Amino acid sequence: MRTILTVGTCVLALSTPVFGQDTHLYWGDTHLHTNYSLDAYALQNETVDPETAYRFAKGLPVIAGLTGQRAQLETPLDFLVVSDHAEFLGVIRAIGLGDPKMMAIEGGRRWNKMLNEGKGKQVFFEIIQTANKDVNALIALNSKEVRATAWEAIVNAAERHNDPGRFTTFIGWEWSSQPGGRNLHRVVFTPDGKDKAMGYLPYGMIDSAKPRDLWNWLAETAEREDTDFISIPHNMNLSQGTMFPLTDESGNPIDEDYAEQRERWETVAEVTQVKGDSETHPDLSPDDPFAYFEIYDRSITVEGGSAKIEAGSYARSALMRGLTLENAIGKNPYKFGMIGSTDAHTGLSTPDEGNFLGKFTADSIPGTKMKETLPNTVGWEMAAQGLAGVWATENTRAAIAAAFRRKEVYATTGPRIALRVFGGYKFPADATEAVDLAAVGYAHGIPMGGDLARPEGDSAPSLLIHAVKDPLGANLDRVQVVKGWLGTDGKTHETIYDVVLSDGRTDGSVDVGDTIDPETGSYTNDIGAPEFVTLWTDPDFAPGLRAFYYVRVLQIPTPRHSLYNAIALQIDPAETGRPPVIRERAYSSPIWYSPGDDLRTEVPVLVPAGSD
Amino acid sequence: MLKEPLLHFLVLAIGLFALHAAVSKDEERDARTIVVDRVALLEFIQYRTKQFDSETAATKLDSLSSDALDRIVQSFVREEALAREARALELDRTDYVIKRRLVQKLDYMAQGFTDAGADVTEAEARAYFRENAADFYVYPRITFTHVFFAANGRGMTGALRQAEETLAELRNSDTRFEDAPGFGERFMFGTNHIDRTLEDVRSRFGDEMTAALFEDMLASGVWSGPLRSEHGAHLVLVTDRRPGRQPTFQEVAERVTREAQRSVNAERARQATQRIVDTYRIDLRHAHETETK
Repeated sequence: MRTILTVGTCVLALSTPVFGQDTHLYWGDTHLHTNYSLDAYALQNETVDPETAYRFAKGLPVIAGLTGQRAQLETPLDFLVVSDHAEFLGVIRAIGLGDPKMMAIEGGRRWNKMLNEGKGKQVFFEIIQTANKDVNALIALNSKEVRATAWEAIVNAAERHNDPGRFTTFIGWEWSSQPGGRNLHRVVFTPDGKDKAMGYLPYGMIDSAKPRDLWNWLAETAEREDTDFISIPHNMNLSQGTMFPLTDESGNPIDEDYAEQRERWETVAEVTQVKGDSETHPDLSPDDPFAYFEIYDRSITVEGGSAKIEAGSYARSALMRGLTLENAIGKNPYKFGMIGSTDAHTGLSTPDEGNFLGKFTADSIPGTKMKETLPNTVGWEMAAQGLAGVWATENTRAAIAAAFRRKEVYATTGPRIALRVFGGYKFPADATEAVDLAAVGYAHGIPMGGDLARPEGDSAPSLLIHAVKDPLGANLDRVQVVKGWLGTDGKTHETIYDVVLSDGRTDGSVDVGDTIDPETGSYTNDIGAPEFVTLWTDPDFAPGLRAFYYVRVLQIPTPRHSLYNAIALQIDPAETGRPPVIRERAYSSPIWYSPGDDLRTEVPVLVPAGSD
Repeated sequence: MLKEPLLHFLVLAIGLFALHAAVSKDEERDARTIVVDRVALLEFIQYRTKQFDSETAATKLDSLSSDALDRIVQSFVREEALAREARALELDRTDYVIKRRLVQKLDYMAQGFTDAGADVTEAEARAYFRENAADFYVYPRITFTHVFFAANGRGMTGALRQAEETLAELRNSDTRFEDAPGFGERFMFGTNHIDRTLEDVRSRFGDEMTAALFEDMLASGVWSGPLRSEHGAHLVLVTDRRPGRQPTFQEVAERVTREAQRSVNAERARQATQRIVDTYRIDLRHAHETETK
């Protein structure tokens, strides 16, 4: 019996039963800025608005910023969140265009003059400086009227383009708190539509710079409007240790209440994006040969100093810190899934090295990549990444939001590497032979983002892993399992296992090789493997110790966007200041192992006071 | 070889301004005439591409088809006309950044701040639908499952033979869609492919098999094949096809109305600015000169 469906209201779950593989992989970007964002507009994105951003993500041709060039995505996205900064939402655009409401204010006239003199960057730097010092100085210019108009336009664009079953849009924004230049930014999105979203204005850093105030606002607003939110921290690499702290912003130790709030709103973190990769840092993971990847460690100040490298600044060390805190307070505040997104300010989601249009419109073409955009940063340093892979039952707001809640999501640095991970104790020995691996995974284990409890007896947990190359991209080099655990000494440790390698290698220290031609920027798939499937059992399992496992997949070397640009400009790639080659990768969300509360006595409680 | 890009940019930009000033003095320009000469076009191209290299720009200009040249002239004229109009508001500057900014300002005034506007009628929406039918075309989609035999290790001939043998088994036992994973080998890009577009299928199975699937040669509800892909041999069971088709207005009325509204608003804004452009006379006499003065 087939249901006849009208075009545009195709809900596949109703029309076609789903067999075995009851989740599908959807690709999206939860972090994209348009000309309604203050910095996007100030840095020359004057034309790409939310409407254009959604059209582009759907695969329709649009006109891009600076040059008026036509841009079109080869492979469209499945979902998109337009997440403009709540602070000054639409305001800088209004000032630049001489909106009378803004021209009535002295500061508006001054910024209008600066924008008209081509000094957008100075306006942006001035806002950064003021926000870092005295946020109250910004209130007068943060026009509620302009923000309300902009919010409605953003909401309308999302509603126009949401197409259940085909393309999902989410209404959202960015809360851009950075006290003293320490980045605490979060993207917030809602699974609901216009009827709920018009009941509030996006909460911004000018309302409060404290994460707990944001969570309280989310709780109150969700209650009042009968709605829901998902909050996603990003750029922990620029947080100077404050994104995953040991004490909250008021100096109180992280307690159970904090952990509960964080668990309610922040189930997922964005660990890779245009301003660098936050999985880990060589200083924190000295034994990880692949830790040096798209490192960007500046503070967001006009002076643009270096960010301190701390455990609270990177995902891997934060996950480990979560184990320590769970041991101390009985609840893990840092139990997050991982995704990638772009944070592009061009309005165009372009995470691939070959189609990268820059962080800002100002650095969107090869000839402008040497321009300063963020303080002391040029376009070459920005990274062409990332993407969010989501295992959801269907492509709708509700189903995708549910996947974020259960953390069945993962990160890639741009390529569409398909990655399934299941954890369990009782996978059949021939699980890797199964034609439908997911059916076996769901039947005998739990998917990425889930929890394993103490087994009966003393069998060690296994991971069933399936990684497949991007159908239109490069082969894979290897699959690794990253394990973090809390030892009997009360300290955390990390181990990286090379679980399976391409080209018959058995020793992970043997490099996969390199097929890149630096003259033309081409590479071949003569090395690496198109697919890996493996069943891995933890050889070092200790049933009494808390642990987490996540999977990291590495691609063979491919050209970085700066190499393509250097070839286009006919300059030496060394002039870009960045390596010409990139090792693209995917990170699964973790699976956590908990021995149960009765075992908290096995490990001494060591929580250093204050930051480490 | 660009050694100091920023300096390079400045030197060239200053050079262009000097050149522009010299040319401006050279002939007294009528305020209501837009002279489209080679110098102006070269300058325009260099700013638009952000590549300050007059030789490259000249090569580009000389290689343009008449259509492309026409488009460039059109956008140059529009920009110049609107910029002059804006300068009439006593913001007289020769800085290019300002010029662009002024044009945007006028565009913005024409568009208004929101996407407000008079609603289109059903008749207008229907007319829009007729004129833009291609935008609403529904692309073909297919739902199928497959049983796969890898060429890797046994060669394509071996994979096809293996598939032939299994085909009889699938047909004789009346194997259903959901039972497909019980046969063959694991395929990288999944077993069940539900409501997939042609591009989707092509990116996973390649051209040859995509053509076979979408050419309607395979009966629905019957195991058929084997089909070849770059990965190996496939037995397929197609259960649903949605052929490409032109929907009726009724089916897509809401979307058409939205798009029509958008186009009406954009057209209104365009007309408002075009009215300004139309008040200028265009002097094209020097556009095709090969030597600058």
